[in-house]
Amino acid sequence: MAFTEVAYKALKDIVGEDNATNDPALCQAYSRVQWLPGGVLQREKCGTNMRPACVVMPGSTEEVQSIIKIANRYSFPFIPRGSGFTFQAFPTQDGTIVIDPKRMDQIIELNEKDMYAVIEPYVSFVGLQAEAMKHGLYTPTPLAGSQVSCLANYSWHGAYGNSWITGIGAQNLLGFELVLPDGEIVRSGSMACPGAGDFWNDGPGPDLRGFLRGGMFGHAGGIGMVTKISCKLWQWAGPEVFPTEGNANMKFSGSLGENWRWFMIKFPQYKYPEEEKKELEASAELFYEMGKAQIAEVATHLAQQFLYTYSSVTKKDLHDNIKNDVFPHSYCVVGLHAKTNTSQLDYEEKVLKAIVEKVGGVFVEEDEPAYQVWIKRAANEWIRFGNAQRLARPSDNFSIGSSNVDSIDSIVYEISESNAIGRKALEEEGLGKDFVQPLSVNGGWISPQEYGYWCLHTTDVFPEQAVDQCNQAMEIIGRCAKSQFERNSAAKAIHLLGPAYDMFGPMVCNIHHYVKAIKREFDPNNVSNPGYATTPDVMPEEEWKKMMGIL
Amino acid sequence: MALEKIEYDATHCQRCSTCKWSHLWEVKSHRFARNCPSLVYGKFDSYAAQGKNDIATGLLNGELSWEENKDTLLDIIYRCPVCAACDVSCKRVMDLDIIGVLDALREEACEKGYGPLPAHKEFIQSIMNYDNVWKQPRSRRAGWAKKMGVKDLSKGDETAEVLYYVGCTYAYKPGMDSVPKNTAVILKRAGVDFGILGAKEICCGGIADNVGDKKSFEEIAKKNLELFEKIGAKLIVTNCPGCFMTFSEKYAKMQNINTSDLPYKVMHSTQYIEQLINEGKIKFTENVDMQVTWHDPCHLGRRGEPYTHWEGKRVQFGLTEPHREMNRGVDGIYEAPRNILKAIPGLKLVEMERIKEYAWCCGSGGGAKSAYPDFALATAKERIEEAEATGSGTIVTSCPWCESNLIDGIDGIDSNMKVEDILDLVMKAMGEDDE
Amino acid sequence: MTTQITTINDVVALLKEVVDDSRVIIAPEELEEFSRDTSFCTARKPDIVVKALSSQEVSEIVKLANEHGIPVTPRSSKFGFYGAGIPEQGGIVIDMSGMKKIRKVDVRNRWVMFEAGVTYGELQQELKKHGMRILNPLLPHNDKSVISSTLEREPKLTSKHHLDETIFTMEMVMPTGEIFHTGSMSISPDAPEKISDELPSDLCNFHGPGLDWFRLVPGSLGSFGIVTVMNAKIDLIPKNQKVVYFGFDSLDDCVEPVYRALRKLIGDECFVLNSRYLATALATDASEINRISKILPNYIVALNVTAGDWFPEDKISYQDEAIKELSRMFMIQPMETIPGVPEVEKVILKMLYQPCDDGDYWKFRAKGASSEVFFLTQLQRAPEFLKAIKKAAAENNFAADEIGIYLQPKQNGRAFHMEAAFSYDPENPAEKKQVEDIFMAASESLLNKGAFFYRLYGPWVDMVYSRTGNLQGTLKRIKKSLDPKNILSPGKLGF
Repeated sequence: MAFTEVAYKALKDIVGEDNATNDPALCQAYSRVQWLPGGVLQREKCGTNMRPACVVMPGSTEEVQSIIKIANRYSFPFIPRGSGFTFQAFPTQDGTIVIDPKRMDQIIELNEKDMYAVIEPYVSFVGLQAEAMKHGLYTPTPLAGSQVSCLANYSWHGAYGNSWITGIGAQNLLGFELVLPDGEIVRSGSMACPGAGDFWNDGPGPDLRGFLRGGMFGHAGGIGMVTKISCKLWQWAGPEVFPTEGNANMKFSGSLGENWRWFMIKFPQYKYPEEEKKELEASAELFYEMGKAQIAEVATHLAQQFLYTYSSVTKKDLHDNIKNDVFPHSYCVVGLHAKTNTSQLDYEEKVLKAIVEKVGGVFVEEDEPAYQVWIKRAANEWIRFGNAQRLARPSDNFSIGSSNVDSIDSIVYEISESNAIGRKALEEEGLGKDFVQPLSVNGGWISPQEYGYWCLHTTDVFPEQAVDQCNQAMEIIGRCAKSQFERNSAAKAIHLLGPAYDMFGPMVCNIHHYVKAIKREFDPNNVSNPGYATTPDVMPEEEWKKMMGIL
Repeated sequence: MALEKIEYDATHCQRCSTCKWSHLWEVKSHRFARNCPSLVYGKFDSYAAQGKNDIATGLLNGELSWEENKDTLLDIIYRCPVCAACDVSCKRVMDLDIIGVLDALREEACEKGYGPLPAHKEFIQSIMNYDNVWKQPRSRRAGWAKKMGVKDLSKGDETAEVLYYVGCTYAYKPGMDSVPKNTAVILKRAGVDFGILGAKEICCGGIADNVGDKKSFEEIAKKNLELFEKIGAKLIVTNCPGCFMTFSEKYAKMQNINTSDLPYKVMHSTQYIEQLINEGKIKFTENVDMQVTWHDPCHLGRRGEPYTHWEGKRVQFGLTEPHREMNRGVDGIYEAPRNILKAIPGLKLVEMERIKEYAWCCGSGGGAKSAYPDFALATAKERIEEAEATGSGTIVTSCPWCESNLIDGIDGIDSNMKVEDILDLVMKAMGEDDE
Repeated sequence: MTTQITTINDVVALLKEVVDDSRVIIAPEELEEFSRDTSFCTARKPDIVVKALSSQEVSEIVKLANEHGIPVTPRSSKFGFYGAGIPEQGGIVIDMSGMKKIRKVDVRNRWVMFEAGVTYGELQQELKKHGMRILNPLLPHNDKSVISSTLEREPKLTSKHHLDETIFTMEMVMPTGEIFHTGSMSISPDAPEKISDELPSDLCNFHGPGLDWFRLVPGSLGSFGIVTVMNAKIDLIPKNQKVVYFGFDSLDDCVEPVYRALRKLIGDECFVLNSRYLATALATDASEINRISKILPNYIVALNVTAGDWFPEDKISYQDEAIKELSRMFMIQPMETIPGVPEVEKVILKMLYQPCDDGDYWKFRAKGASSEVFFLTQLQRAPEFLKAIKKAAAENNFAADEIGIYLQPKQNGRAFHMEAAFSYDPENPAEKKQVEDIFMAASESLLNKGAFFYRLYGPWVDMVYSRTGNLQGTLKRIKKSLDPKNILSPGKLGF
């Protein structure tokens, strides 16, 4: 079976005439991801395969359920999505439908006392945070930009500016309601228990979040569609309204009031980038000490690419700043937040100063260009994330080069190894010579989580959209990944998605067998995002290699 | 092909959805977080700027064709007030000419003979036939000025420092002639040496350009430019943001020059009146005890920046050579009307959540009201709800299209809101409202 | 295809190929010990108990069980409270209480790696040498396995959000018998401590692979896998601390002050006990409980204000300031000791960091046994649930002032573990029945009112899952995917 007129009519009967379309011009907007080299190449290969056969907009969980049941009846794939930002939200096969949750955009509950919210799929971080701030609360702040769907971000991955406190998406998700790939509905946490409210996760019995999220990246929509979640809100002692001055791209955000202080720390004794590893190690020491002391709200190591892109007002400004070496190296950025009282702030500042001295760091002075540009223009961004996709600004395309999740020390090691690969490829083969340099071979974003108990990182590459550059980017990324496997790095455990299960599963405790067993059980017709979720059966090598070439 | 000009911009869309939301730092509630009327009404992503980028890309690479997809393409392209909220949002993070993509789609639709839409063609034909969009006789254009003793510069026997350009809607639309009348009174009181073009005033032609009919626009614009030259206009003051933007930006763009290179300067009436207040030529002597909220017209606000001509290309990394200064909504006319309102004694200004460069459009621009009245009405209703949320009883603006559509919006939701032109309040504060 | 086993002796013979003979137990009196615990769960004898000492042994046993279709129930504590280690369908109980190795302490990354049988006392003792501590629940039994406690989600005394979920990575034996590693441990099949010593991982990523096992396995009562080794978060032992108490007449009076204290992040540990429960913990024997209980305020909120190496006086000072503000706001008086109860300081300090290791188990101190009803709630609903508990007790003629009440905030007070304890003489059938009836009545009433029973044992399984729609069915399908032969802990969660 496939997606037919009969199926289309059935969908329209469910959601209403105006809420489903198979018009190619309307579906065109759901057909591309361009912000990754992989996306560019995928588009090249798949052509109009990436245009869904239909886009359908349910208005309720029951409608989602009905849609998914239709998908099973007629055996066509569906893709659940939030705002559709990330690459797994796009079809790779003919006859796929996309479920656009735009009509499900309610904040159902915002509980100030118990610090949680209950939301539908099209609620963005920015809207939720604006509401939460009125109550002395706020949300994690996604690097993807606060315009993305909160629910989708928590179900998928989610990395945040204030992860020092909040952790990643997994740590912020509470209960959820999920329409399984076969159309059954399940609720988890207290949401499952009549009259219990939606305040918590943890059971009853096993915690079904462990089933939903599937490691670092979730199931990429392969286990059905989440239609409601409850999620944590966090104490916020800053202003009720995010402070701004100026207009448009010349809008800056200054002080967050008396309950917030920003600091930038550098390690000028290390020649950059030659002694980058030492700088990273010193930053690691800073974070370890801060973690033990349990101070701060934001603690992160920002590489030049983050500093330049998030502080830029235009592309020219960004490239001029690079030429003028406004950020000659990476910096650690720390935000202190007086959630107890301002004496707490004074205390934490005192501790921070002592720690910085201990680890050999130096505070960036207010009159330094780096401070002027970052703190004055963009530091508060780390609390609101309004600058969205600016990581694409340098070359209108970018990719994560390498990433890992483990201890802060492991991350430092990983960044150094990845950058060494990038530099070697550049020097010896000219790979990446046309990328934005040196941003593509230096630095790394270190994001310690939960007071530094664990950590994640990314390095980035900045090719242009041209196919040859995207191929080079994929080559560099591939080499980094290969190196991770050869070195038996912890990163091996996080690369699992789609056909990568077949490729890497045997190296990772044969996890592919378990995940595929789950997939077979819950998605017997393999209709829930089959392009990105793992296949129900173990694939022969030539098949997964082919898929890896596409994806 | 028009789309070739914006190929880079359309194909480098990051699909981040920033274009669909108000300035992310300025969002103050979940309710009023969205910025794109087309998307809110049309729902499918195609209606957003991101979707239009995909449409343009699809047309360029052959995945879509005008022949096969005409109806939907026209709907996507024209059910949009071209308010540039998407452009402003996007340009905060990227450097893509989003408004250029929207314009190019319309231009291409017209080039191919599919656009503009019948309702737009009516307007354009009316301009050709009657020099105004309302199919009204030329002779009535200056009817509002009867017995006001205003100089008619078109006769050639008088000159003035200021050309007061009225515009079609203020000239002809019933109930709106108070605006030019008020303007004339205020300018006189301020001792300004001004004149009008009377029955010889020609439509600015902005609507033709807005809907992509560049040929008709050029024809109309040339007539106006000749007229301005003939009378030696150095400073043009107008109440209509559409005309303001047309004279300032579109006329410069058409001639491939900067706004600053135009032979005249153009100011919106709020800018000029602010200047007169600062010069002490207008004094407010009466209290106006009201609580109001100000609606930023798109063509005055984020689209009210002067045009900088650019001819060049994209080079490495998407930089431009020579460097292109893009308008991003930074220097739109936001403060002048606010300063006027703040200067009025007794008046309390309470802002809506979406203002200035991230204001929610009234819904009528870009030919949307004529071709898609339901869409325009829905958009206006949204704005009225937002105005009501301020607790104000009056929404003040300075645009005939905004005023008209907002009034329709008020009727649409049975609101008690009133719409006033800013000059009504100025007149009250000057003690002139009985005249 | 399952080979038919004719007798238990056939199985015993196979098991003796895996472990020493002495560790394969079939003597009825020994099996009897594994057939019951202090819960009201029906006693059910295993057919065989095997005392395993390594993951490899557990793996071999489970493989064997898979081959022959024999149910396996794991346990790692010598002492059981909830019925989790009682086999529902006979078969083999794997006793891992003898797996006592503390494999590694990583002070820098703040974790400890330990085996299934390691207890709180053993762990705290080892960690103290490094200036570190494991996060304690409230006075756990001295023989309580830390892995057991963690997998059962026993709430910890800390109210810090990042110290609620403490599991990093796990070595576990899957229902098929395969040894499986979770999180970053999955990069190698080697011994976990070897991975962190020799490979570029510090075992700090707890997500995945594939599924988030650190969430799926806890609460599963061994249905999804048997955890043999774990590394879990630890924290520094504070250099400076003091416990501040507030006394309240009623639970209602506690609500707003506790919300505020937690919102303001005052203190590292926080717990609320009623006079009965705290007296039970403080008393050295049963005769003391009533006396102490009468002296104590009806409800006691304890906040443990701590400081580490950096400017400890300043840290205590700003928290003091916050406590003063809290006191002013609610017109309550902070105490650093409780008048008339001198033992409180010593015992509470111990309570914060040690298990119950001085003779009898505190919960049994009053009458020899105790049964608890516990669930999660929002603090603002706790008084409502307390009423239901008291009603159930009153209807069964149980004195209200003998109910022990405990509230434990989780993650800055987003949720509270609420517990009601009923003491009884286990030798007195009437008392036992009384408490059993209260347990059932209170549970039913609380569920009807919307209490969130998050840890499911015994009768709670059916009571809860009958209310939660498709949840049990979904878990059953997950179980089917991971354990097609339903070998591990069958019946424990109704599947």
